[in-house]
Amino acid sequence: MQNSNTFQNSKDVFMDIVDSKDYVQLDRSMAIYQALKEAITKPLKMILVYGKPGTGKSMMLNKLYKELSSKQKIVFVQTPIIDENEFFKVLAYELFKFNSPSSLNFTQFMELTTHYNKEVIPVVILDEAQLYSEDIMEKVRLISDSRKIKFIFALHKTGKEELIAKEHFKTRIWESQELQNANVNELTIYIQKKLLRSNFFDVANMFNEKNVKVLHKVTDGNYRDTNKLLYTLFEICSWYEKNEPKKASFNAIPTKYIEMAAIQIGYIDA
Amino acid sequence: MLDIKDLEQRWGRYNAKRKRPLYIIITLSIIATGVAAFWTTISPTPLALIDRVTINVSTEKSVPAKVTIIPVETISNVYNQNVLKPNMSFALKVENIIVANQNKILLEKIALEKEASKKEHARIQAELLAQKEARAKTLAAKKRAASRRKKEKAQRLAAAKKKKTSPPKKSPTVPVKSSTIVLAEPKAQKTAEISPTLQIQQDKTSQDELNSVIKRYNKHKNPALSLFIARKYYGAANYQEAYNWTQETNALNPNIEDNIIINAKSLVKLGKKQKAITSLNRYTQKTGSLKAKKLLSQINEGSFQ
Repeated sequence: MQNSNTFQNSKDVFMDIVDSKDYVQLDRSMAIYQALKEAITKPLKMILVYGKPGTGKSMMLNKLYKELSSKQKIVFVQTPIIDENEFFKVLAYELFKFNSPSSLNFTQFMELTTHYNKEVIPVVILDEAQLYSEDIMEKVRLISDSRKIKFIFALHKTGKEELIAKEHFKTRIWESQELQNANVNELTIYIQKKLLRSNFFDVANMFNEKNVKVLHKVTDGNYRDTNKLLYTLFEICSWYEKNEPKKASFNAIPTKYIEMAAIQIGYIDA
Repeated sequence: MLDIKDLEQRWGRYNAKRKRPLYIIITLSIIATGVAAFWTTISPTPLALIDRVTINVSTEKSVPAKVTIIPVETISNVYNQNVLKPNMSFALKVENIIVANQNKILLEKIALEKEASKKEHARIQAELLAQKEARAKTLAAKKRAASRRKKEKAQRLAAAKKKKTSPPKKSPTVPVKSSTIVLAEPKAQKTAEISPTLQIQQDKTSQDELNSVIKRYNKHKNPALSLFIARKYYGAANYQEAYNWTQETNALNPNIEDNIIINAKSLVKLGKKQKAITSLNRYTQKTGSLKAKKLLSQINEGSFQ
């Protein structure tokens, strides 16, 4: 018999929060992470990280930011700054600690960069880069051409927002890494690692191969969708545990519960 | 907050929807099995089985024989009478007509092919005859020319003799006679003794020539040279070498008609008639060469061996 709070607590493990502490190291993602780290040390103007939503781009960049922030100047812009003047103002402050009383335009920002010559080139990570206007991206390109700041873009791999498709970007991007959804094995490791890290050994043991295959079929190995599904699944398990403990057997996660969770969040049309 | 009861109902609907194809397949297979079982029960085989069983039963003493045998026979008879059997005679007729038509077409085709081959054969024979006649004519003309030359020579000699007869001492008939002998002797020598030496000389020269050509061929790899060598060997009755050289030529250019001919001829001479026929057949099909066809018919008839 499980502890009455087991599922209630284990569902919190799968809350959709971008925290580098929660980053699960998988072979494939670690290889990409290492490649990114190496790319930063090279004299490259632009680095691109792309993939479908929920493949772990933000999580990876957050981990990268946390790791490098103690060693060099690095700025992580998680939420896109749509206003151009505001964008340069934020960058000026974060990079050079220059607090402009009024707005800061591109020319002024470029002027600033010439005064700050540092041995290690500062890095700016722009998450959700597909949301930036073309004007801002053009200016970012010009800044990167000056080699005063290095940029890392993270963007969704969708047809309309193909920033990398633009010729002038294509030629400047030297390193690009694509993040993909997990396969069944990776998803198993991901779930196990997540649960074991929070000491939910009993819950981790409940997941068999069939369970993971059903999960993978429903979510297509997308980490965000998996988190969401598991969160709802544990909520359902928790309800049964509390209200109908005799009906439910918890030696393994019943496929029915997984499908119910998928119906609840709309991944299965019923 | 989750509404588990509603969620369970939705899952139930989803599960039923998901399993619907499976249910359909199971139902269909049950229906199919039922239909198959029905057909097997009404087919004549089980009746025959019943017939046999009841006969066995009827032999037992406890059951009256009349009661069991008669109804079963009547049932099977009635059954056999009532069962409609399809009359397939029309299908056989149609089949026979189709077969007869096909046979007719085939026979016509064969007759046409035979006629064509006969014509071809006659044409080739006529060509051969014409060639023979032409050769005979040329030989006769040569002979006539030679005899004319001989007569003229004899006349000239006779005239010379007459002139020489004026000095009585130096004009014995013996030298004249000897001269006639001398004239007659070289001819005999030509045929009997001189010709082998000439042949030997010719062979020597042709061998030297051949060696030089082989040397040239090794240097230039020209199919014309290899064909020439093959011809020479074939002429010298060295059929194995001739065949080898035709193969060499063929490797360089497989479309030389003369090479194919010599190759086939060499093969026949080497006793590989079938191989020669195959080779010629392939070539005639490919090119329609008359020369090759002619040789092929000669080989088939046995006139070329």
